Amino acid sequence: MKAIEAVQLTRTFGAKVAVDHLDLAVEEGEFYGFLGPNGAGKSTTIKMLVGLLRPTSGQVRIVGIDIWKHPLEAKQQIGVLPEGLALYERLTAREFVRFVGAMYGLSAAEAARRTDELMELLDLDIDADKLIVDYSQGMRKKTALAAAIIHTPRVLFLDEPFEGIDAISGRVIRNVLQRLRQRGTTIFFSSHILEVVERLCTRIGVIVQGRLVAEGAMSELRRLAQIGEHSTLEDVFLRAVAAADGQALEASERSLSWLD
Amino acid sequence: MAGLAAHLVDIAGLDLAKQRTLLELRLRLLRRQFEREPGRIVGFVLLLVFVGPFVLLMAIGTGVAYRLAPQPWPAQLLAGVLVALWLAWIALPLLAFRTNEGLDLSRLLLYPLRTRDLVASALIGTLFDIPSYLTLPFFIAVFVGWSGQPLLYIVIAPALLIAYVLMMVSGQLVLTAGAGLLRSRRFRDLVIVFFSLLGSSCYFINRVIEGWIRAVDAADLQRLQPLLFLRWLPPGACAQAIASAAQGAWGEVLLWLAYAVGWLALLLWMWWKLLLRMTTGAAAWVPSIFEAKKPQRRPQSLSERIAAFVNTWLPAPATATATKELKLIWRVPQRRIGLLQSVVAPFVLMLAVFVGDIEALGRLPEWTALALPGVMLFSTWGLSTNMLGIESKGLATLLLTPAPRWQIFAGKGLAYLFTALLPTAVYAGILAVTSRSAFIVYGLIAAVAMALIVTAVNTVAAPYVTYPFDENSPTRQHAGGKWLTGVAQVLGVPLAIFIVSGPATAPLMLGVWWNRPEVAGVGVLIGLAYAAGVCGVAIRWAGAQLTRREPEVLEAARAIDF
Repeated sequence: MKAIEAVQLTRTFGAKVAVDHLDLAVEEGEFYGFLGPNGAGKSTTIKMLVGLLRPTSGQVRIVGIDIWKHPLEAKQQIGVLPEGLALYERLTAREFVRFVGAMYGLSAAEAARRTDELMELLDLDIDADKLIVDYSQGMRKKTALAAAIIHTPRVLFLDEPFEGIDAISGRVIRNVLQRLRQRGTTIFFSSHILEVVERLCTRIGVIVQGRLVAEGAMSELRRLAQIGEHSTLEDVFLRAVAAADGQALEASERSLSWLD
Repeated sequence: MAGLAAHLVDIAGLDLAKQRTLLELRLRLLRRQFEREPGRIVGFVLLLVFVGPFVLLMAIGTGVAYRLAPQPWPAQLLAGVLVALWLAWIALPLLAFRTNEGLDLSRLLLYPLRTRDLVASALIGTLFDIPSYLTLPFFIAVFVGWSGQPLLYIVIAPALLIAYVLMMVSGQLVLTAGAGLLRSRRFRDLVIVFFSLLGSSCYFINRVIEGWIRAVDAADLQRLQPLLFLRWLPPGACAQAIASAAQGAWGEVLLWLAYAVGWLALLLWMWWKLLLRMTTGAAAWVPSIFEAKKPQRRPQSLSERIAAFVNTWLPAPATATATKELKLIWRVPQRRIGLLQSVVAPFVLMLAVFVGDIEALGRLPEWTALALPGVMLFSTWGLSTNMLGIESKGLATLLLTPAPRWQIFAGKGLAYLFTALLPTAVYAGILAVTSRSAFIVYGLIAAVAMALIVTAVNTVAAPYVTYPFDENSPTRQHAGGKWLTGVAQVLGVPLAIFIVSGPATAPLMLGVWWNRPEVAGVGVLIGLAYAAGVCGVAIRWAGAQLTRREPEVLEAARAIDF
């Protein structure tokens, strides 16, 4: 059984096709990196996968459950760190994470215990009783991440989890994600920080203009891109994007006239 | 004209290119306010249509008074008008600060701008602000009012010019001094709550002012002579200069004008110093009372203790939602208004009815009991309207969880009922003790039934009537819903409440009408059971609908970006 399965997933906004008949399959326990240039359809895809945005057509199954036919059963299996964070800004981090724990069915005592541990691990314990509205972006991100993992989901969706995070917290988060993966959690991870994606992910998919243009482990991607075995994910990514969108590569080579 | 302006700019040692850029920026930001929120255009047009004529009439009235009123009233009135305008110049930009980015000079500090260019651009920019348009008719009225003595124009023109510049500089000084404060979240929250409560208390304030006016007679007014103390304020000095000119005391004219110019110089110097301080790196200060306090970690807050108790007989998601709602009703300023109004409004109503005749509390007519369901109607309505939209950004998190949706609605309903019931029960208790009428108790039971009905109707509406809510906006709800949503909210929901609440409130009305307490007593209990049943069905139904419509609800609430 696949952890995540998207079949001919499509989403249009008027005349614009944001996601174009996407077929995607992620095995259980995989650490899947989902890459693409800005506006490629990454966030739109994730929103459809987690049930926030209705697809124009196609199917989504999470651990075999159709999220659009049985949304609550599917959502019981997932944790999400969404793009906009979706926080209750007038709650404290502690209150917010406990609330989410309760909504996932944890007892009050268990939710409180796990929240306290998460606050300490993510270095939020000093500020855990301040309102989220007064938090920095990094603190908000850590709060949202705590809420996404408090119930130990089977599938975890992370949209830009390391944006705004300092190096120490980043290391802590990576360790937590690795532990989750070792326990069998599938992690679907979207990020612009290619070095982190390359280091953590077992498989990577590249989306350009709503289509999956490349997919596989790093070695497979290098072979598909026909570049050397020591080339980086950035090289692979640029090659994949260029193959799908020649203008993107051209854009990456441009400079400023007054700097020449 | 452009050449003259360029020449003036040059004389003042200003950078013409930067002044032009800053002016373009100010105008563009002003235009964008309307482009981003077309609803603002409607608001602006309504302002012009309703407030504009009112301001014009007031200005005309002052002009007539200057011309025809007996001495010494023209000068007294002029002083009052100029000081009132000066206060408006100080207060209005403070209120507009959040919505008008052009008023925030600190955003320009990143750039290599000289302080004189900042000052000049701020002053030029105020020509396009609402206070300038408010001031102009009143200034014209001064010229018209003293048109019988055209020689006075040689004093009126410079006096009004000084007053105008004083107003501009004062407004900018207060904005600059308060910049850190205005950006403070706690201050903004206080302002939102304060002004909303002020609006709610208008009736009471009107009654108080009426009382004062009745107490003041013409002889008192004659003795009042406000100019005697207003002339020591900067714009009042300008009014005194004009008054002295009208009396032919030209020496005094010069003295008072010099005094006003002295104030202007002082205020300008203070503003200059503040701007210099801002540009050289000292961060705008926030008084410590508005700084976030170090949070006190309580072992278990009151709401958590209540939640732990309630958790024994309610599902965890319902209790968690209720706890969360109670916290947010207090902490989100616009939602706190709903809570405070449910506390303040009945109090204001009682005062308005019983002030001057407090013994009437002891001989209340039976129909007073009918007020209780009315109070609960408005309290619960205010709390439960747009109950999904008011989740704001948190709505996406809520809908990502697997909690049964009916339990979410149940938790919300509990929170609204508790919030609305508490103050109503207190007032009912006071009325029951003072009137010793059983109808009051029956009225309270009917009030609970009403709260359940209102919650039920708004719960049923929730999956279909949702619109955006910005908890950081000075206005209560962010405009942006579709017109059909507006129609449903304004017509559909009230009609549904009226129809559905009939069986719950009719027994009380009949009992009061026939003066049969037993009819009311039995009837309200049946009505309560009916209301509870309706609420239960509504919650289940709405939960199922929400499950089917979550993406549409998220889109309507603009809870996620697309």
